[in-house]
Amino acid sequence: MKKIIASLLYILISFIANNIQAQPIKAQVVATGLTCSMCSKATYNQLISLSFADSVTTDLDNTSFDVYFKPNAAYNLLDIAKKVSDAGFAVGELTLWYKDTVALYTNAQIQLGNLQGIVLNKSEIKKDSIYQLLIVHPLLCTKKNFEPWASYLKPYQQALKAKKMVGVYVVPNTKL
Amino acid sequence: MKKLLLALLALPCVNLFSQELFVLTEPASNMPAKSIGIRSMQSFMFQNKQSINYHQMPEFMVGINRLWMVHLQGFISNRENAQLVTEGASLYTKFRFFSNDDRHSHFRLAAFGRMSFNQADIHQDEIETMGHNTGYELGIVTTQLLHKWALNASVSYEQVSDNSATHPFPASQSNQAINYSLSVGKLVLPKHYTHYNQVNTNVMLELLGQSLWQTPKYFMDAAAFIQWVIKSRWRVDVGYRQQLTNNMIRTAPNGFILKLEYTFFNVW
Repeated sequence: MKKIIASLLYILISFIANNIQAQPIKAQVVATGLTCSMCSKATYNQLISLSFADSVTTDLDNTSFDVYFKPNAAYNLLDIAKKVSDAGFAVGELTLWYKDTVALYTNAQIQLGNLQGIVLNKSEIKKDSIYQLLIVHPLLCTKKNFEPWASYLKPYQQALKAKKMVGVYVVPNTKL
Repeated sequence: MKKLLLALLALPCVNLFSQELFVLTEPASNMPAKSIGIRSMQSFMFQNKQSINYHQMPEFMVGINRLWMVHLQGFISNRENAQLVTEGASLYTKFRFFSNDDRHSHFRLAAFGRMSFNQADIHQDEIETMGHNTGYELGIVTTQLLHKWALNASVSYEQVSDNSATHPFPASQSNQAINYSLSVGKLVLPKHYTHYNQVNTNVMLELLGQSLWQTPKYFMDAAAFIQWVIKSRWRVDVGYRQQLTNNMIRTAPNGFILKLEYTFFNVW
């Protein structure tokens, strides 16, 4: 009886854990197709206009942008892809920096704002820890970086094309 | 009184992307979506040892979306009676149909078109819908950006007609031409970026040529420019264009060019 109750509690906690939506600290966006500061400025101007962006900082030499999220603001990661595209470029890599109050269980589906994320790698994330989620989607990474996960994401192809789902690679040993 | 005439310009380039912001040719990249640019291109071309022809081409540019941009341009010169006269205008559009982006690099292809009207007299074999002839031009441009270098190539077909009832196109001249260009640019400063307000300095070399369709006449020019991009919004280009080889009549092929531009981002 005790074992049954424990199993049911485990299932309930797992369900709750994978459906609690913590707000990301920031999204680190690497843009491709540009080299100069004027191009970066155009991209910065697009990203700062995101409804959920509180602020944006830029690493000009590496053409990467940190988009800090407004607390509790609804967000869609694919809006980032649209803004970078409007600037004339593409997202080569997007990493979400997260601190969650519950443990993130592996090989599960998690909610990332308006999108559902499917965890791609086996990992154990401790409660109250800061970790990075590398987002895998044709619009949010280069073709070269998407290809290794293409076969794993094949069952979710329709959802990926419909822009309802992304792959999530949990980066080990995250240091903030 | 000195007269200034602009006779030789290929496509002017307005773009926001530094070392591929060529002065006389368009890259395959477009303006950012929802941006507006204003530009003034001025040419001081030597007609002979005593006179200089001046031409002013103000331009209004709109980035409709990431793939499509449109320019409206005016042509003003003081060839006639040494007073500035509006001679014509043109509508230019470019559509980017292919892009392969990677870290610090891209390869792009775009198609472009121009339609112009001009009421000035026709005084040379060279045809030019940007500032000299009534007509149209259609072409393709390709750009390869790699770190601090940019390489650009374009080819286009141009056809012109009468400028006005009083300035018909001479029947003895070819009214059709193929234009081609090859341009290379390099970002020389800064060595490393620290903030948006750093002044970018680019150097560029452009080769531009035209072959008339109906007569065996051609020219090839070279142009060298230095460019400054200021506060990631202002752009200043200064350079010189020189004819390399030619077997057609051209009124004022050599001279200095000055271009100024400003961009407004996220206008709507």
